[in-house]
Amino acid sequence: MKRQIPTGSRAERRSFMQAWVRERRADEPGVRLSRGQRRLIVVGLYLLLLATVSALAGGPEGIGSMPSILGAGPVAYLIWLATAQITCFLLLTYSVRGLLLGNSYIDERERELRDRATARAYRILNGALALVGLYVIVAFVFKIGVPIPSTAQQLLLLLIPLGWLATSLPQSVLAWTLPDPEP
Amino acid sequence: MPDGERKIYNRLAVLRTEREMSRIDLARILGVNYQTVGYLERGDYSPSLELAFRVSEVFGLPVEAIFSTRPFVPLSEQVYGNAQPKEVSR
Repeated sequence: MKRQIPTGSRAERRSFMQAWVRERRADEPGVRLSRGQRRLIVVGLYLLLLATVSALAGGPEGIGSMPSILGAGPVAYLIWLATAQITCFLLLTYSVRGLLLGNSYIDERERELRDRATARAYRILNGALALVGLYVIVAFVFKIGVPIPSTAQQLLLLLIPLGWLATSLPQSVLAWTLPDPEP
Repeated sequence: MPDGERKIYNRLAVLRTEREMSRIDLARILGVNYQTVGYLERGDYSPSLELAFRVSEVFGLPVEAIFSTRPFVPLSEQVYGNAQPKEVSR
């Protein structure tokens, strides 16, 4: 029998919605795709990120040296990279979507997995930030010939990968570490 | 299960099969994901006290009848003793 959506208070409707999602989630897999497929997506995402940053690192002068896709120019190449990255990110999120929902929609085991992955992602991001900081200090103080980000465009180049890392790391850690889903 | 954590054994799979319930059925009643029922049954995940009590309510049994820190003795062995398998003569 189809259940009626309550028309009463907001709290009633909210509790109905939470119960409905929980009920649906009982037979929906929390994790999709095999571990190998998920790892491939993670590797793809970060390789594409690396390709985008290296393509942009040349600045306006370097645009001419970018490869062209099917005869199209460098802008098409950048659009292709961005689209591929977003596709990887969406696939990654889809594969562990069940574990990324709010506390009221996931069970205690899933909450534990999500929290552990978020903590590990936080530590990885801290490590990445420390490395970037160290790089800037070493490059600036010791002037050892490595490029120092000075212009707005170069700083943006540092922020793009850091932003992507912050957004995608919890999903990536989950996708990388979780075993194959239940049959 | 995190390293160093004590393993909790359970009789979930037996109890569920006896009652002809699927993992999804049990998951719906418990309000968890069916994958979590699988993890519980294999002993890969130790439930919280709250979830353990919910499970005991579902099966109408005390918690210690379902979960234990020591491996359970198979029911057949409990009922009929440690009988050795007989050789079948042709």
